Amino acid sequence: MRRYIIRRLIQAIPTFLGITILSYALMTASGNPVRTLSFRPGRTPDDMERLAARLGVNDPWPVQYVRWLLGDDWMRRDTDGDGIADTAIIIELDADGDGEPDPPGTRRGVLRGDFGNSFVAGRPVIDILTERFPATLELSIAGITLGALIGIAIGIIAAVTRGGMFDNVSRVIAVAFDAIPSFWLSIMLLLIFSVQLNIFPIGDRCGFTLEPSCPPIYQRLEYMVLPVFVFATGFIAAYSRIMRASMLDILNKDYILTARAKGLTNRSIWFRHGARNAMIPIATFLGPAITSLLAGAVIIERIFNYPGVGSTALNAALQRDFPVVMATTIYAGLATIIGYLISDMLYAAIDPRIRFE
Amino acid sequence: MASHTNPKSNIARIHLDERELYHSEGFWMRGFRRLRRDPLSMISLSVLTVLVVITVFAPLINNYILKVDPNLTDPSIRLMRPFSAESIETGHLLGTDDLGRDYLGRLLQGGRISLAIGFFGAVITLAIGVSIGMVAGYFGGPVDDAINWAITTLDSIPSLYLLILITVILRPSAQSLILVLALVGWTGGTRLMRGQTIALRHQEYIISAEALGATPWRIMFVHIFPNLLSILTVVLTRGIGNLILVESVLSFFSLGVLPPTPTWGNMLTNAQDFFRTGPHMATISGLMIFITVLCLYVLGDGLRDAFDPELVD
Amino acid sequence: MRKFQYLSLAVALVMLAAIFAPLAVFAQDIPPGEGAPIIESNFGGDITTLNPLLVADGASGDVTDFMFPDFIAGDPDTGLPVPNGENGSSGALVTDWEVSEDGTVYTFTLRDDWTWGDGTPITAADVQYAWDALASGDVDNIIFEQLVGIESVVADGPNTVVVTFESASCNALNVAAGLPVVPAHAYQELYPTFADMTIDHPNNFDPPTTAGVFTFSNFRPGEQVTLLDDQNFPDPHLDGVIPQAWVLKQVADQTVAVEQFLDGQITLIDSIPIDRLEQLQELGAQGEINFDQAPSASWFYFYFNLADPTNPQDGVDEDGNPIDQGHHPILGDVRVRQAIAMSIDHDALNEGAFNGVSQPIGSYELPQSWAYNGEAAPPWPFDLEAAAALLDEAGFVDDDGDPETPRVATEDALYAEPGTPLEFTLTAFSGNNEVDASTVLIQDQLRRSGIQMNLDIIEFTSMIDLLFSQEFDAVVLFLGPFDPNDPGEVLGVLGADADTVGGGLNAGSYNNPEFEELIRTADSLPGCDQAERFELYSQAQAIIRNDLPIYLIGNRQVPFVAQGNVGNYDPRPRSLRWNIDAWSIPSS
Repeated sequence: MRRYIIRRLIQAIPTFLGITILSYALMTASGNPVRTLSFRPGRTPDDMERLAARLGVNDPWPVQYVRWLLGDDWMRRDTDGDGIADTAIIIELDADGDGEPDPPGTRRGVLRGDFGNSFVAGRPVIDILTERFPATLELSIAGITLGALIGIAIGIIAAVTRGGMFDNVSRVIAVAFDAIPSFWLSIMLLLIFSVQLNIFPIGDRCGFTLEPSCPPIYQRLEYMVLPVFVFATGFIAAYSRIMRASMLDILNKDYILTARAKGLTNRSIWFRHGARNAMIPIATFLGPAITSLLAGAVIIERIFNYPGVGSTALNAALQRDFPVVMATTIYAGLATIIGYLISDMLYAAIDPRIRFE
Repeated sequence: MASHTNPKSNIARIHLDERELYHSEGFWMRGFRRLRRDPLSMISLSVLTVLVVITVFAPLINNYILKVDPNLTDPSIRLMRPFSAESIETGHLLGTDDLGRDYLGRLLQGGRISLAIGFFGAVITLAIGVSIGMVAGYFGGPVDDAINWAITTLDSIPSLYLLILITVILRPSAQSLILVLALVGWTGGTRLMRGQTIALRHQEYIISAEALGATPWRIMFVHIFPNLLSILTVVLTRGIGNLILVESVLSFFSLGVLPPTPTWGNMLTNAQDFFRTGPHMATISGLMIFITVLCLYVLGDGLRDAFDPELVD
Repeated sequence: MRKFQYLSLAVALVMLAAIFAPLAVFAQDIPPGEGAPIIESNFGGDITTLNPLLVADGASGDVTDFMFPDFIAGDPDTGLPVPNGENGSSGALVTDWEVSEDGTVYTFTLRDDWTWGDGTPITAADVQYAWDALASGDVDNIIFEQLVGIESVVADGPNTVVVTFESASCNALNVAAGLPVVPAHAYQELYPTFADMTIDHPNNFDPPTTAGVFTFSNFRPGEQVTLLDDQNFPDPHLDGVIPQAWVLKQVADQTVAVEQFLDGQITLIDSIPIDRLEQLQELGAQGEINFDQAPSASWFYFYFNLADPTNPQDGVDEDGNPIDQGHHPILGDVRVRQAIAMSIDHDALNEGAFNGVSQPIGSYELPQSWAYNGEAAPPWPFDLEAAAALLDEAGFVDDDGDPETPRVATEDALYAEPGTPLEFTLTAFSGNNEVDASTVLIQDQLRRSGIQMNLDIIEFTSMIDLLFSQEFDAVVLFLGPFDPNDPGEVLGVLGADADTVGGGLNAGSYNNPEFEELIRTADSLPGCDQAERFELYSQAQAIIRNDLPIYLIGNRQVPFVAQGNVGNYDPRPRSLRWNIDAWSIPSS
């Protein structure tokens, strides 16, 4: 098992590099951010030049990429050991805008956890993501847990009552939830349940408070109901569909027929044999589920005014805030890689037949 | 959201066995016979047929039947409610939008573009996916490794993130959006095709075709591809629905096809600004997206069941 | 009947209150610090700093305004600099000033009765420190560039600040009013050198000490900034600062924000989606909420590209001599631009796109500015016949008898090859309903004059790139805010110096020495007689109105709403929050 995990981790390295190159290439292709960042009356071309130097966006993009990935402290080296750097390998960055290149070592690079500073907020990107992460995490975990539980239950019941009323109704509902644009569903739920019926709060992560943070999660569950529900709808639909299919598959398998011949009750067959084996596809779905969670977060967080990573990613893309966009993309990529890893391990844990070859 | 999930899951139930290789006339007939027995699928198919016909002929319908110009603005009759006395009198059956344009006319025109984006987007997505997948599966080795790397990388970033990034950069016209959607979405088809090609690669009939001197391209497109048509039909059907949804989500962020070119997505987004004064706009455009996508998904499920012989009782 | 009596009583009381409002009679029934928090919504990004010297965005500016003293107060009615306390102004240091004979040296006298939160008196040194930091070049900021023409700021004792200007300017006082004030003693300790003062400094969101109506409490990124009442504030309009707190709350979606407002969760919204205008206006008329409007301080306008878009050039060369930039084949002819202006029906736009909040405007000056002259620069009339005549004269004729197909250039056309259709592309940015709606309407209106305007709607950044490249035909955008008290600011958009490819705001390449001379003369008129300056600015407005290098689509009223239970809420023309310390909201 350990060797398997290590091998999977090694396999993830090229994927990770691919993600960094792709996101960097895309952002660079989107053009110079300086003009947008300094669009206001009274701005002079000099200001723009200073800003460009500060952001380091004038350098060729491979240089920017490497600096962003690895940092800049290796760029100048002290070859003769006299304490003065003497080989300048690559163009220097003027991050403080004083016209002088900065001493090397001010950037440590993404690989060492330094995502640089946001162009817009000026703060370290990692701080921004850390602030926003808990909100996304609480919604996603609640959404995926709820979705998986309900979806699995519906899937099992639908499979064992195949062709019946429940089966048909649940299938149609699952498809219907899939077919509603999620932003539309969110807005409708908000207008109906919060504005008209006044059952749930109108967006936000918690009620108004002067305190420096929201109260603990159990005191603000009502704020999570609607966003978590929208998150869950997608998973209910997907999980119930997969669960139903794989349950049906297994119910037709020989060993189930044998068990039934041995006189086991229906219920113990379904849950001991059927459900356990049917968990396999559920586990394999975890990886893709995480990508869809992150995508959903962009929409749901915006509409329900939830301060998470998704809404940050969207704003950053619209504002051309390169460092934040790339950090969120990498965060999404890492989450997905880890999701696939976990799902593979779950798969192995559920199905002992899998060998780690 | 589930619309961005792994298309693999949707066709997980499709198995290949030798009996159905070289899909015979009988295979397709059996499939359609089963489909005919499923009332939900048939209803969906009829609704979709009607939608396709009226949107394809939208310009003609607008010109000769409705006699409206969907681009003509008239603020003095803006936000007219559908089926009100006023709207029937002036000939704007579904009312008017915030600029006083005929809503039915725009709905037809918008549907034409939405459906076109969905259809051509899904076709191109599949075409790219299928070609690359077959190449990867057939040749294996470094080609397969490289393609696999690209797939894993692309799949690790939520497609919505990528779409937002790309549409922010490009000016999204309807045509360019189709290409963008295909460039981001091809991995699902590739993964599917690659797996199936590997499975078929060592079938006897392929090996004998190779022995007879068939080129790899001939084997791929003549011997392997036809066997996968039924799966592709299912994937295509769901793919169209999915892309219509994706377009509406992008429109929600003002990154889809931009007004004044109407699509159901940007009409729905625009309608959000008029929830109070013109709720009919949001209801109608939202409903059109919902019904279309629902029908496509139901039909996709129906096709899957119909072509899956293991489901035969 | 009884109800009616109450109503008439209420009306009488309201009228009475209205009469006495200018005398600032405040009903006080809530003790200082016990009023419910004031909650405002913010659509834009989070604040980026709480250091007033580093502020570069609106939200950070709004928040720090409450936490730091102003140098010179602004009159809530006119916005002009006044001694602190005059006409209801508060929270500023300057009580009086003198000007040297040549108009370049201003000597300001400061109050001595205000201290920072840690007890240190606020002195002239705090003003000089802020200036030194900005002028050092070591602090990355956008405030210094606004302090145009200041040569030095020197503290002369604790209560006197001497500000020297490079040359006499009528706008000097207005510029000086923009000098920030920060706690020098605490900042010197926090930032050993000016270069340490950066936006990623650990104290960026943790001000060492403050002085203002409110003081900093906490910042929850993506959620809210919370300020608490500062009872040390020396100029309360009542016995003290009434509201317990002021909160800037992030709400990204406007629909959600309005619903939260209607639910009572937000006190004040100053950006309202047009769909909700009518509803809120009605609630305002019923007295449920406060509904008011103020003229926008921004332009919503077309840039016409007057120069050859295939060969973009700067306006002037290194020596300041004008460069020949060629002419735009269609829009280079002023008569075509005038015909476009006369083909646009503002009333229809107002109805279809602006929900009735727009006024036609012919002058680039903001209507709230003292320099605005609507008579010298009246809005262009909607007159299709005159437009047609002008187009005929300009050599663009209707060749096929169908008035809706584009006209075609003849030999008489000034810059267009004969046979060129009367056609141009308007580039607009996506995601703004008013832009979407108004451009579509204008397209339809121009078609009726035989002018084909192609619409190219692209994402904002791409549009700005196109604008600065000067390769466009016409671009529509919002620009601002402008300072209504600085009429000379227009040179930054229409002066030849601002015509630089790749970044100049004069992207349409307008170049008119006569206009620039008028503005420059008025800006530095000896004696600064306002009537005389008004005359010069009026001539400048008339020139731009007729030359039409830009077409202002209209000046919009910006509506804002506040809850009906905000006591002493009294927006004045140039300041909504001038007496925010007295706003009393009963705690529920």
